[in-house]
Amino acid sequence: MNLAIFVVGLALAIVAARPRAPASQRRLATAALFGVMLAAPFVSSSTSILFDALTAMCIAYGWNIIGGFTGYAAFGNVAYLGLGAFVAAGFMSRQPGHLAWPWFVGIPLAVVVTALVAGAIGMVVLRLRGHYFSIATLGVGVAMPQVITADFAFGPHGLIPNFFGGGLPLNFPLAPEVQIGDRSLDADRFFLYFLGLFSALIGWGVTRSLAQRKFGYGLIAIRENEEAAEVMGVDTTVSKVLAYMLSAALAALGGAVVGYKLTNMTNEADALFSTTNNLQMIVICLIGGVGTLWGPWIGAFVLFGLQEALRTVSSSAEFLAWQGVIFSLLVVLVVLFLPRGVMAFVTSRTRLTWRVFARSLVANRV
Amino acid sequence: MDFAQHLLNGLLQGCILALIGLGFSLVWGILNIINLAHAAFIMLAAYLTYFLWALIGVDPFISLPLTMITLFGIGYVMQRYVINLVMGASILTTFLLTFGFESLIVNLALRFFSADTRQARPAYANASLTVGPLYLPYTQLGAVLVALLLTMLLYVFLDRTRTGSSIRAVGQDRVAARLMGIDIARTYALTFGLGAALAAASGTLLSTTSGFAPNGFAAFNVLAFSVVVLGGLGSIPGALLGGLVFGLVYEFSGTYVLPQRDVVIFAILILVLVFRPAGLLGREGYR
Repeated sequence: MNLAIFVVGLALAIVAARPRAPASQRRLATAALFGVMLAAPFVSSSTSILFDALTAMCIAYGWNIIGGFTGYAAFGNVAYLGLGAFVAAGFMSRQPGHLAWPWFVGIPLAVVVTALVAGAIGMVVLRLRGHYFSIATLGVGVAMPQVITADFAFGPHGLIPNFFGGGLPLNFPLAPEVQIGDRSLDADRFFLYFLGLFSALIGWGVTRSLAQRKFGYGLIAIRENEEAAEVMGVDTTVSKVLAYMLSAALAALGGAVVGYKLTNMTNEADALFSTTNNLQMIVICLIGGVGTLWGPWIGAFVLFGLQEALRTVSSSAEFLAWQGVIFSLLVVLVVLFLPRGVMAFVTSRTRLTWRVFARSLVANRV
Repeated sequence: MDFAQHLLNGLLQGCILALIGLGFSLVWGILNIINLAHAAFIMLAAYLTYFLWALIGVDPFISLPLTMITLFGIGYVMQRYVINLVMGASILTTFLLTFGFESLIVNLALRFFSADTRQARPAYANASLTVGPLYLPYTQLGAVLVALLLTMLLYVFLDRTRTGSSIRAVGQDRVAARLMGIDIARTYALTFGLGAALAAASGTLLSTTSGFAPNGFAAFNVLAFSVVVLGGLGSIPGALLGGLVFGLVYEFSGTYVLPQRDVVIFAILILVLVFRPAGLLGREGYR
């Protein structure tokens, strides 16, 4: 069932993304797509993989703003994904010393806090360009998990004692089950799924409004030629930092929702800050099409649809063992054969033939 | 005396870091790509050394040339037939491609070598040279000698041989080098192979001095980058200096400043990038 949802969702997203299709047709496809996503938990018995796809999409929309629109190849957004989850847990946890705030306060606040942290970091790292920026952000990704476990700041006697656990357990409260009449709706299947869907739609909405605004055009101008953008009156420093903050905010939103589902933060730091998470957001954008509105949506559905398909044809233990290998191989193949993503076929009159892949392969050789 | 021992440990460790930075610097300076598979090469060499020692009893210092040649071959083929295809693309592309290779190799290693910690421990592994109150483990001492020897060999190779100068020519101006009849694709592959061979040497040395597992190598990419940035891109003495500085930082920050060593190293990296982007010994404006 989930596979069918992925296929239908992908088809609708592609229709909605076609620039030459009439506007009414695109609007209809978009509405149908959102309708399908809203109906999904009622027809599918387990929405776990859809949840994964939607939260990853939200995070990928975040990367798309800095990496796609602004053209700064950030490699450390995983830091904000993890930070968002941990800050949200710090606000929402019911353990002693925590605030036990409800999710609709805790998660937005975590997003704001993470965005502010990213703003401070961005003011420094965005002075760098090219390789230097990429590695500096990669360093942020490496350093962040160490910072949140640092004793002097968050240890038992630190500045904000035990906010991130500091050796004690740190848990999100269990997500509520919704009661409708005498039926109770499973939290994983409904509540968390809708939270994931909501976060993905926020990512989509932010990107859509960027693409129509002066601010978004400014970012694209920075990508194409930063000096020229500056001369034309784009405040490049402010724009870049804002883009970076927005990108971190979406990563934090996705991360916090993922963390809410994982519940126990004590053992999940490695999983949240993993290389796979770091690569995943970029690969999603790359599969779909970097710097486009529908790219992350298409990319997430392709990636997770593929995962679902593989899981149905093989045993799940076998799949888990090879998951990392398959994913990395996919990264290499996409970079080589499909550098402009699925959107290359959607936006231009390019036909889907082997020659297109062969041509992308040799386009940039020495 | 504790302090003197830490100082010594830091300098010994620094020589290996310098070797790691050297291969990274060569590839970055000449090819203008950040090779994020560098850490994976180090890991592969460490495993190769370990298995040669554990299965057929080859001493790590004997197998060193063998692992270097093997990794040179892997690096050469990888650049010649894969990475050369994307050399004209954006930074994101080469970054992602090498990151993909890194992740692929690490995942394959986890699958086939398991996540167990291993170490090549020849008979002399626990023996130390004692100088007054200081201990100098023989493996560490050997590692330093090999690292210094390889640094010198690389310097002579790049400076004195025809192939070496063709590599430097490609690094300075690709178009002019091609006009002089240098085969760019081949030179790139050669350089990348050399970088992999240097990574292999450091991997072999690391496999004898400490335990390792597939997941433990990721930090070496940021570390190698930091060494190169501090020393100055394209400078061999710079890589040596950068390695020694970070060896000391690694040793002392673990003991005296912060247990979170990567945070300290990252902070230094950012400070250098912002205030002295050409590095300590780098030339201003060298790409």
